[in-house]
Amino acid sequence: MRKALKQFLLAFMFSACLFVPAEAIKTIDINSLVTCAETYDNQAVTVEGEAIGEVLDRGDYAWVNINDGTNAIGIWMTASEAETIENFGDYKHIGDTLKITGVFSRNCTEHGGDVDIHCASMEITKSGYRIDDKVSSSKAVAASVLLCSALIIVYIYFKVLKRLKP
Amino acid sequence: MTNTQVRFPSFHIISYYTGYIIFGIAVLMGIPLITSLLMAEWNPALDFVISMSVSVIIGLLMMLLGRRTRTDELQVDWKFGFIIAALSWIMLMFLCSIPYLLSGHTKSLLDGCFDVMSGFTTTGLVLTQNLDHLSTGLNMWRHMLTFIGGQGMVVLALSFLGKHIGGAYKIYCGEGKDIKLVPNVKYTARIIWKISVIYLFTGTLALWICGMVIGLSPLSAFLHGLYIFESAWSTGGFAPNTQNMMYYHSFAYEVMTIVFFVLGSPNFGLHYAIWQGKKKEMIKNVEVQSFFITSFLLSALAVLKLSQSGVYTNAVSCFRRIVYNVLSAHTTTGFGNVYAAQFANEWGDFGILVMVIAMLIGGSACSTAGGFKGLRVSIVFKGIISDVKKILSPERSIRVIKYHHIKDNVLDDGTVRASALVIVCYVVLFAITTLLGTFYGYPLAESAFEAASVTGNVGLSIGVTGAAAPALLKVQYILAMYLGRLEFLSVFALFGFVIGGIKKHA
Amino acid sequence: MRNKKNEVEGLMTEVVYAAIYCGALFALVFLIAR
Repeated sequence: MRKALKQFLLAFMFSACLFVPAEAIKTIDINSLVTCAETYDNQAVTVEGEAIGEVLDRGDYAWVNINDGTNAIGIWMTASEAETIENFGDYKHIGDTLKITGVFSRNCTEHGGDVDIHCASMEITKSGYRIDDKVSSSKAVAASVLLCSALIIVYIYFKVLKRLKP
Repeated sequence: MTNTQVRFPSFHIISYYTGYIIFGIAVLMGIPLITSLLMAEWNPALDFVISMSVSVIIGLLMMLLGRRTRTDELQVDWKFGFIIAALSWIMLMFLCSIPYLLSGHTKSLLDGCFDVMSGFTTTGLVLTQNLDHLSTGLNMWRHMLTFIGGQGMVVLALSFLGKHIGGAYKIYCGEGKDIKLVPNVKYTARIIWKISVIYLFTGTLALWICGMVIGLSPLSAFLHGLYIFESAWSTGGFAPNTQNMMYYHSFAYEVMTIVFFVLGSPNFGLHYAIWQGKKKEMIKNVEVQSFFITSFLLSALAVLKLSQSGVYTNAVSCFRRIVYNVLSAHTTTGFGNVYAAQFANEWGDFGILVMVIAMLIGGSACSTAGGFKGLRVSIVFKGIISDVKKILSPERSIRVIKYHHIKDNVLDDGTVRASALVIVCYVVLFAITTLLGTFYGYPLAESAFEAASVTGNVGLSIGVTGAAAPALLKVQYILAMYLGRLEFLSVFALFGFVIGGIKKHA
Repeated sequence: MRNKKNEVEGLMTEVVYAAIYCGALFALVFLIAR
């Protein structure tokens, strides 16, 4: 009975994988893109990730690096597209989430062998925001206590040193 | 205390000097602290207040416990030099990981210690998560660790020594250097720092300007310039973002880093000689010659194979993606502009092996670089040639082989033996680390690549290093980075001392 | 190392040598992977 149940579940899971909903282009995570770079080379792909750091302006075009949690990659887009991005990720901010569709290159000849995506279309799916750098009271207390202790030890050290000097 | 005999003098000496070094590094934590305050990053600022306080307390307590060293002017034997260097590196590994742990960017104490050891040893492998959202203070700290580690914590402490101590040179040697630029080791340490600081200013300025040209804002360009210079000069390989050098998408920026990490890789003796006007040293030095030969050879082999197999098609791509990474590996820097997965999937076994050899040969002796060191490879190579010549030449003739390293040196059996033994130690360490990787199921080429990267303190990754890697493997990597950087002797001395101490009191 | 002139010259010499080294490597690459 148990064996039959197991086999049934297995068959069910297997067939469930076959029912992939038909989408135009599925969003791929950046790490899969990089790991299977040869498969995706010169293909149109869609990625979705957070814009990080800042725009690297190169005249009419610009680089925007995006990170989707699995890995990060550079997107080559027009300067005007880059200008629409308002928030970039860093310590204090979460950047805008961008959904990029474009051609993936494993060794882009235009960019000296870089792994990149030349953007065909870009969509800002989520706005970024400022992160609250709230300090926990326990941390503040710990810091004060330790700082005072350190100062006391410094004082003791110099006192002992003075006493020991001939 | 009228009794002038000190009980357990070894304890006092070790405690005092280790405490001294710890205190010195604790003071340096002030720099990231100030950085965070300036950037209004309150959590990191408190993290550094905590770390600094803990380190100051421990450092000063150790100095107080060992104060007899100073008052009674205890003699520092050779073994203490090595033990102090090895011990301070271990204690600092824990203390300097406190800011990482408090930031929440590391998944465990082990990961935090891994990153600190990676910084100290100028390796450059990273287990810190989410680099793109790291605070400026913590990024400042990471890159500082690699800059200080490159020069050496002991070297830093020695340059601030108030009174001249006889044991200074012995502790200095414990950190893997033995070059004496001037007879006084304190001044040698200061010269090493002077050269590094002058380059720090020049390099940061150059990268700052280049950064702005490629599109970074003035503030970012400055910070990135500072971080990248520190990382390049120390041949560390840390970068402020997840993508390492790929973040910049710039040939110019990459070339600048090549200049700085290639210059950062030689021996300070070489810099000192050239800065004193002896320009010929650049050409006559045996390490420069050997590096020139091996780097050209390995680059040529890699480019030949990879361009033939179609991995990279044009000259610029080949230079940027192949030569850059071979040089980064050979100088044991670790800046990468290809993804780890690409080494694994696209470079093939030949490409990977070329990288392994480059990483193991490494850079120059008494420098920030890792690996066997070019000097030893040259000495052993010349030793073999000399032995062959001895067999072939008439029995009565006496041949004296020389090699030029700062000055002319005679190649005697003792020198060859010493070099060969250290190379053997490196090879054994590399083999054990590779073995452990394969034990955990990683393919041979990948285990070997990662093992070479840790043993040679390189920092390039083929994908094995990651938060999900087995804990024991991470421990082995930490050990390998540590042994590789301190060149075995100090760590063996520490180990031997501890075992000897246990045996005595058991 | 009290001679400032020598120090500056030293730094410049090193940078020039490094640049020449890069150039030589690039030439090598160009020859192999035309």
